Amino acid sequence: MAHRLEIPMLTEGLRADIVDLLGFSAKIWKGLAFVDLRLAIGQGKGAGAENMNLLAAGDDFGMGVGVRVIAEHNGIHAPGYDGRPVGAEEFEHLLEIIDKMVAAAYERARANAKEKYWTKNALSPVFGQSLWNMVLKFPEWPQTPIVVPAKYAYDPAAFPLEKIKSLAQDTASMFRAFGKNINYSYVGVSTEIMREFYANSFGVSITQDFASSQAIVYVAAGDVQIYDVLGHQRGAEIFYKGIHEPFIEFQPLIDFAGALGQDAVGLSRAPVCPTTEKEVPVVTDPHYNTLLVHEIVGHPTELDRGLKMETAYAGRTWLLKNPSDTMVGKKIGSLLLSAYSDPSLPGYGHYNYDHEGVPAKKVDHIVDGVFTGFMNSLQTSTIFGGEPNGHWKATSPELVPLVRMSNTVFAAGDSRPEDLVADIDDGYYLEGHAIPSIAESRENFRISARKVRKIENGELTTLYRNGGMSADSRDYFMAIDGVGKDFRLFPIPNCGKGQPMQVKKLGNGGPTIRSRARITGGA
Amino acid sequence: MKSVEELRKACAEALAYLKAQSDIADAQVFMAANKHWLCRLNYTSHIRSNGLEEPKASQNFGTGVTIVFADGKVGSGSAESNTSIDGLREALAKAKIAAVKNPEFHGLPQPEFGKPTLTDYHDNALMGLSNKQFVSIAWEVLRQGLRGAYDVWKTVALSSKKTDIPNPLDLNLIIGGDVQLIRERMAVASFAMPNVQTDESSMTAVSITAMFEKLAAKGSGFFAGKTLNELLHGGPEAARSAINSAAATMSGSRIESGEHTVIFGPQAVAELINNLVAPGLTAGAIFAELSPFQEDFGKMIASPKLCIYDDGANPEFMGVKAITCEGLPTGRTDLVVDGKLAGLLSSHYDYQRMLWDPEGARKLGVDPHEHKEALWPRNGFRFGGGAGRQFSSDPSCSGSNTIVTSSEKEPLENLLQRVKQGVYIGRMWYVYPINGSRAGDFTGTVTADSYLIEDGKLSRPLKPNTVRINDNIKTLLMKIVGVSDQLKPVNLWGADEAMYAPDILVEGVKLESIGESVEMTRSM
Repeated sequence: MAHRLEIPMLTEGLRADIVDLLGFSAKIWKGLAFVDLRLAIGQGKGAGAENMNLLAAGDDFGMGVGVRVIAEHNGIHAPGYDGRPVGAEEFEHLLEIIDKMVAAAYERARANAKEKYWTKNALSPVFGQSLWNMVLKFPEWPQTPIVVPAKYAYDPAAFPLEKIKSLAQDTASMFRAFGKNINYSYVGVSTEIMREFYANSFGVSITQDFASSQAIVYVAAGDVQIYDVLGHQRGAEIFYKGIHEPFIEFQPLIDFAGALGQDAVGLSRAPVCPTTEKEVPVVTDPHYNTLLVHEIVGHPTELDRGLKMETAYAGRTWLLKNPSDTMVGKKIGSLLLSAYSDPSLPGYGHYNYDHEGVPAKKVDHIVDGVFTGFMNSLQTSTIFGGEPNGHWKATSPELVPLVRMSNTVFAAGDSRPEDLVADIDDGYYLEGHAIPSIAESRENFRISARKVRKIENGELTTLYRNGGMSADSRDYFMAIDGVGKDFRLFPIPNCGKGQPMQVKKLGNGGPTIRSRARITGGA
Repeated sequence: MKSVEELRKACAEALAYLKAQSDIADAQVFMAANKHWLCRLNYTSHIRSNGLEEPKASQNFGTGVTIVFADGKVGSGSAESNTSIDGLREALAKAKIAAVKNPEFHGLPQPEFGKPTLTDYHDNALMGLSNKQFVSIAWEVLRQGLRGAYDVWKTVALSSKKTDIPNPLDLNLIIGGDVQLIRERMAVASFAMPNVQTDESSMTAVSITAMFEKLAAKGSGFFAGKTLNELLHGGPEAARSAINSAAATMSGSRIESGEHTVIFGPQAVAELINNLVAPGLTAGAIFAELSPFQEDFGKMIASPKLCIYDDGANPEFMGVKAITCEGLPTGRTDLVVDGKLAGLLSSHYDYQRMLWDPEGARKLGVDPHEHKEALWPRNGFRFGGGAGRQFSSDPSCSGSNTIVTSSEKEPLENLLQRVKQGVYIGRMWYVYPINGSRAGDFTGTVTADSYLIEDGKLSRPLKPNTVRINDNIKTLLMKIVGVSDQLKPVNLWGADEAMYAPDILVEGVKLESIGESVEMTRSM
């Protein structure tokens, strides 16, 4: 009997047994057309310090399983799901647990198929027509088991909790130097490793290991509240050495937090940002554009939104009215604007296969100002058409995946970032993202910045607090007249989507960009 | 799912085990079992869809401990799917490794806050629902919406103005949302309160959004309840309401940017309170100096028309619970009384550190020791992701049933009659404190169920997604001039607490017309 879950426990033999079990289930359950399973086992450590005091710490492990069954009744197919965590002492009964989960998901899928069949007939020829017989168009599955290792220098499973506690405590203690200028601070540090396993009734077996380390630093000074995240799919080495990669650049944690503290204190003494009546020239840095691209390119190019599946929750997209009336192939931005999602880039949005075993592919969303396509899943690509590109992801296996971003970015241009400012007589420079609010179909946004500076005669002048910008998305895209070559990637630690809410880590980024928008200040 | 008696027995055994450990000075054991069923609906008449998109369930149970060790360190640990002594050992081992000396921890809850008043308030029929029954209920909700939509089409088709809708499918109908059911059981005991306390509750909610997308019409319907009978009636009714509301907002108009007199409907009020006001009405936010209401205790923070309270012990409301996840009785906390800040939501940890904080009187505006009852820890819950009480989480402060009301309530018609020209905002989303919680600046957009008000009546519908509100919550609360006497349950996406809200009339709200260029592009 196990008292602790560890990643090596999910052995090759056990994974093969799970694949066999799913194949067997597909044979014995009447009408079961397809079953797939997601399983994750993880080990992690974390500590949090509030106001310079170590608040809590933890060294824990966990495991979760999710099962999807597609079953048919009288030729009509429908899905059913089940999900649950698995405790250490249950681990030896894992196959039995999975078997029961398949049965529960099957029961829901069959009941769903029966009701769909009945409703389709009862409401035909009107609203019953569009009820879909859920037959997925599958990709070419890998024929042999796939194994993708994690990358790290310091193994998160072996890294001592005491060192994580020290990192949190020492970083938090650094804020003492700011005295009463800072009213509140929080430092959270974690490192973890996760083994994700995907299997289905066609015999597919994909194992991917991910290391992930993250520090979140939150500082308040006066009415200024700012936060930032240092994170990567690596071990705890990033806290000591920082990250120095072609697209990802971070200082060590103590310097990263110190810079944030200085920003907070400086901002608390700055005037409140004014609001402009009309659009003005705006230059936004890569950190600000990380959230901007997330909200006004990433979310509206998720095909589940396009197909209205998020109407009651995360919203729709202005890029698709219905499958025969979309913005694909139409100009939505200036010639300088290109954007894409690329799971092969490093950072939080990196992976090789998504949570239904589909190879992760780069998707061009906007090429030279023309809208070109969506991130999708097997279901949404079957309905809408096109090849699946591997963006169906869940926060944890117990939850049902949704179409999520990988690394969604604005493409680099060829301008020097300083030249984008130098050309402006009267405008604003927005540095660092803060808080977003986006319209339902992503057609309009207001996003606050950590810092706003006035641009006067090509120079950065007055610093403002509590400011940001707002525009209609298309207007903003069309007005882009400068794109920098300083492409950067940043972690987004808390993208929310789904019911129940799934808060997910993913990657975004871009270069410095110049366009036009209305500056929005504080009250 | 573990029974209450199984949890009670396991909790007693666990406490006895912990008492026998020489290195433990104080301890609390918390055990929970949850089952969350959710049927997510997605029907689209113009795109192939499953109708019932996700019939799904997740469940968990396990043990959580908070241990005060003899050396003064405090640690928490948990064991998944295990309420045996082995599970307790696993949780204890984790607590030991995790333990830290936290100077802001001043002890586990003591029996000084009274006794719980509720027993046996859950519905056994709801607790015993089967997979097939639940799937069938969800489909019936959807079918009711589809029938309603057909009725709407007949009306539209008969109207000479809408000759471009020859077929119901041309309405581009969308019905989305969910039917959900949460069943939770828990047991808690500690050295200071060794008699095991248990609680068992069930809640059910239906949230439906309907659109006639071709006509840019969008409506919402909500249901919240505690019994199977309520669900069987209220679920389909919510779907009908959403369809009817969407039908009433066909072919909406835009408004000009500027200051407007606004009546916020219950969902919009709940969105404002849940995202901007309630988080600032917690002891934790005041302690951290992140509240828009710092130093305001006893002062007017809103118009005298506004009252807000939280009442976890009221069985009339969906979020009812007998005890908190800290083993303390739930109850009523008056937060805002006739505009005055009168109390704060608190967990025991936040309550204690507010009392011990040498800066407490400055942060609160009064000496917290003189207003202890206003800070009583009635809201220490271990919620997580809207799926019941989580044994693996430490308690934190959350609302239970948050009620927005007034001591001068009046019918909605009276509020309308006072508006010569204005806007009724029925549904908002993405309402965030855009410059941080303390500054009070906020923004959000209007998504559905909204109308123009002309000469005291709802006149034309407001086109969805064409208005952004840019204002400050502190000034907006002061500009409330009327509160309606209807109190409606509102299901907020991702929220764990239940919210009940009326309509509220506010003058001088800053609204901005948005999205026109995108709209023109789409209509080309």
